[in-house]
Amino acid sequence: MLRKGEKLFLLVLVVSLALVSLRQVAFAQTLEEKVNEFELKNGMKFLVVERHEAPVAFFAIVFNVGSANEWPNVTGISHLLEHMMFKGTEMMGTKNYKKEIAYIGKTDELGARTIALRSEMGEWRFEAFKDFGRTVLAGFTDAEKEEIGADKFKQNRLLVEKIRAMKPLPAELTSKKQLVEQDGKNFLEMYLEYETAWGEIVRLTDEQRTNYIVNNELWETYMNNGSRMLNAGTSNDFTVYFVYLPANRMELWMTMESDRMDSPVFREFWSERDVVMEERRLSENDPDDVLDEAFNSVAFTACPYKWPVLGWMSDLRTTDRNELVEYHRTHYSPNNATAVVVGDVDLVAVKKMAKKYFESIPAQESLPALETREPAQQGERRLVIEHDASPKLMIGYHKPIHPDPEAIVFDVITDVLSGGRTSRLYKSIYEEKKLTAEPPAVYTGPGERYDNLLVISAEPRHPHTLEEVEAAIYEEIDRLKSEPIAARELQRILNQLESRMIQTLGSNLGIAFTVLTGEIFRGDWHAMFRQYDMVKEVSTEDIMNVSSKYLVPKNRTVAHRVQVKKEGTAEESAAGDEIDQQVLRAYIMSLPQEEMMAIVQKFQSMRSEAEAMEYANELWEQAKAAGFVKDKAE
Amino acid sequence: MKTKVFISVLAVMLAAAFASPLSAGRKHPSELKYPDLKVNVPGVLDISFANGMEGFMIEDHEIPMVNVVILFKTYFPAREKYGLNEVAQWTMRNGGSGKWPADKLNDELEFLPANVEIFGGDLSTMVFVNCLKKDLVEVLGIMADLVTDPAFPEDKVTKKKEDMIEEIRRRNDQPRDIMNREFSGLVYGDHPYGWETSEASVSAITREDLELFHASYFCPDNALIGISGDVTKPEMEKLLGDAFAGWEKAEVSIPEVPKLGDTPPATYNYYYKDISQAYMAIGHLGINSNNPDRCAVEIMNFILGGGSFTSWITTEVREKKGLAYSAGSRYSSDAFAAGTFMAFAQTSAGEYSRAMQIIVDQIAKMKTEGPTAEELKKAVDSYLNSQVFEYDSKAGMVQRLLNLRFEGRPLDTPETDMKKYAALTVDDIKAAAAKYLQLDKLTILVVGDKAQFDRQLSEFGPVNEIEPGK
Repeated sequence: MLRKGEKLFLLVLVVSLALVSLRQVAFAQTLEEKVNEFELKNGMKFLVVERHEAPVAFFAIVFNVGSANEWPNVTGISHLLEHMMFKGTEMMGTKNYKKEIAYIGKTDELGARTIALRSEMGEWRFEAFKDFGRTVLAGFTDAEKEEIGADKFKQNRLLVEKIRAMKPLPAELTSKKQLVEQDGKNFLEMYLEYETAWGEIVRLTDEQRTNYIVNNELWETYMNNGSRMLNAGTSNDFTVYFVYLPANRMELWMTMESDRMDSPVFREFWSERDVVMEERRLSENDPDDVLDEAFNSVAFTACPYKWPVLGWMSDLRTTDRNELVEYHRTHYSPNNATAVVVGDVDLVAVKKMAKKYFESIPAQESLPALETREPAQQGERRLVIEHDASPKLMIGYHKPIHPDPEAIVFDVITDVLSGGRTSRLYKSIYEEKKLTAEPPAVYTGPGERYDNLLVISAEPRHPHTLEEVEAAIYEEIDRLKSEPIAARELQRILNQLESRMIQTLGSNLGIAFTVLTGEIFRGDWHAMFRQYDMVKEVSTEDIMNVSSKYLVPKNRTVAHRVQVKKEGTAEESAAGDEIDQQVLRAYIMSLPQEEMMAIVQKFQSMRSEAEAMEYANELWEQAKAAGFVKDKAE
Repeated sequence: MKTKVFISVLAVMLAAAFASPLSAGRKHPSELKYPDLKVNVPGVLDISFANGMEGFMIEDHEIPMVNVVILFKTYFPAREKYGLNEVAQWTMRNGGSGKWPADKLNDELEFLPANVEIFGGDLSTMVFVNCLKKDLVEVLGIMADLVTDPAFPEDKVTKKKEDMIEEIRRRNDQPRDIMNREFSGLVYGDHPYGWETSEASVSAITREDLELFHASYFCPDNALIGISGDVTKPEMEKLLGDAFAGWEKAEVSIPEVPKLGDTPPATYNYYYKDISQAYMAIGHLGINSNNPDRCAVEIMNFILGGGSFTSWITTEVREKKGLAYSAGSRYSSDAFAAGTFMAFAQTSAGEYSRAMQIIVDQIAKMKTEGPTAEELKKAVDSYLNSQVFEYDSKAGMVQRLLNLRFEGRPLDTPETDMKKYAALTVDDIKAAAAKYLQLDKLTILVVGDKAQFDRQLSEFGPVNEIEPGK
């Protein structure tokens, strides 16, 4: 629910995945023996580790569903559901559920109507009306604005009134063909109905809140009981709900989690959907998210990792509450859930309480396994993203997933390339060639359960270019294929695996993440305890073979993010004078033929207008220096 | 579409008809009774050395690892060399020492493996060690060598400076970074807390400056040490005594952090960024950590915007209006000068003024109405009930004590705070709001594209347009 926590959690998972493992030392044995596993009659699995250092315990429930389980029209629904799971149940978050339910019915009806209206208008009309609406809003008098304040119901009511009073309609609307009317349909009326319906949803939801809703009772109850790290996260592969509590609050967790698994109520759906759309917009303004999203959508052809966890905006705004109810029923069944409890708890008590609270929740038919596989890539894919942010590079190679033994080789390759200050990309790209201001990052993404990628990302340090950094990375990749890595490099990775595992055992969170990682990504928590031995089996030949097989141009996707500022911004107009194409051409023609050819070739090799503009500016400066440009004052 | 609507209504009616009243024997959480908690507070030992170094230690034999933190007090550089401390801290670690040149150092530490890191801010530098017990002697030796004899090689100094200049180039990429930085600059003004690095200030830093920085602050009587892990106090006294043998005391004088003036007058500020949202920050200077009303201010802010989903700002802006994904407030205290109060939201640019109005209204409401007794009780409960987490991590406990000693505050602050929270009344919160929320001195900053705004900022008052920095 909170972005920060979510990212942190996923980061910890990914880090522990890459690093966690065990040697047959006493510690490993103790942890593997300490994990207690039991299953309820409805198929819900529990993993419990007792650790009595402090009177606290970490609780998590993972549902085996993420954005990879979605389909067109409902992308983003897993994440939307995660938000809605905090809205309460029949017992929590309400003063009287039976009376409140009438509001849910009414707002659902209106909400469905807005979706239908927008679809019937068509996006082009809707956008045109919305733009027009904005100009009408801007024309409200101060007194009207004062009266409206932050009230959307009043705002929309006045907006609709004003537009209805416009007779005749302004040319802005009537001049566009088929905008207002076509085939006897009045689309402006539809738009007005749409805005009215939205105002009404807001008004009804406000009334529902005033009369029945106990705001955020679930969240607040955890907080009042002293919770830490209360949060949830959705990834491509799974959805997790977790909380760290004083150990004596176990029954609180059992009560609230079984309650929301059994009978959640997705109240305030329409306003929360707005929040999620705002979260999506937040990510559209985040240059790294923008790059990531485009990169995945190009790198994958069939695998559902091709769409973002947040979903596409157009899918979010056409998702209604009933779709969510059905998605919850099918995907949040006890037989699709695993709970993890680590800390100052007693196994017998956990078992007893788990049975009491969770066992009566009915199992659902099991979901069909996702069988779509990514077809072999047939050639390099390249893309350019233009954004108002400094340049960044991403390179991704398709790779096998666990338990394929080649996936373990990739774990080792990841470490050789980027695991610390002695790793290869750190040393060559960052330290020696000084091409970047941060060491390049290497990781597996965007998920772990289906066909995924080895991703390398880096940000060039000015004046170095994306091309330079890209070429330098390929040099290191090629070294993996041609030179065996040193025995010491492999031993370092083993030593680090062992030490991280020991470290992990010293905290409830560390233990919980290890067990969860194995369970979620490998389908079996025991897998984490086999990893050390598997890494030990990896030979220098394996690394050369796997690199030669997968780390090839044909199998890669490369994204460049180039900086483009919006036209006409203060910065740009201040930055330089306009290029006179005639003059620039005269300058280029005046150069020796080789130089001229080089310039032409460079332009031809460019992949974006921005890149070309940047180079043109550079040439313009040269032309000025060569005296080709006359000062305007002259 | 019609059919779908009909089905949806029917589904809801059916759901209502069959809704099982509080099924499966679940009771509302308010009816649950919890067993007592047994808290064994880990014992903290004082530890000190003949050379003047002193601090705290907690023995913890659960896993064979040891954590050591050493904190050195430092101070702001000259403003025209701002960034010096960061360059120095980075180069102390990444440039290696006479005995441990960078490549050899990294190779050894990563092979063992062990972590030795040096980082910090303007007013302190932290040296951090984390290793397996079997490697402790060697790793402490390496750490001591870096602390007492850093090499500051010229190429590493240049590398760090170039990297920081690239960071400056990239610092307007993320709207959130712009908001935080510019807000801080607006409320702190010329005070060092509002300083930022610039290409000129980083370029001006020399290797000699770093040596002077090291000579000025890195001596044992300016060091506070914190230890936790699988080691005993006598062992540690011997090991650290040996590692730092010959390290001499020195005169260290650290100036007082300059006093802050009054919080600046109310202003509206705009920063252009080509984004579809508006990032807004609204607030003023905060308080000093020693302020006797600090606990009341913390709880007041928890209710206003700090307590996430239960707080007023989040409830109104996010939950009720769906205007933002993130909205809330922070009220920080600072031991040497003052923290900041900042309410914030990121909303769709076309609706930003509604969010801004709501936030200002909530601040006003805290001053005029204050919280209800129930709201206060819930906030206080959440502080009191989470107290056990103070003892969850031994390294965390040691770090907290170290910070309190560094800030010159009583070591039992967490415990006395709990008593203060428990004693707070609604009137205390109202008094704190009256005194520490300055509605007439709000610095308002909006980052975004005004062409997309629903209302222009200039409708609310004169606007200071901040020149987007290069």
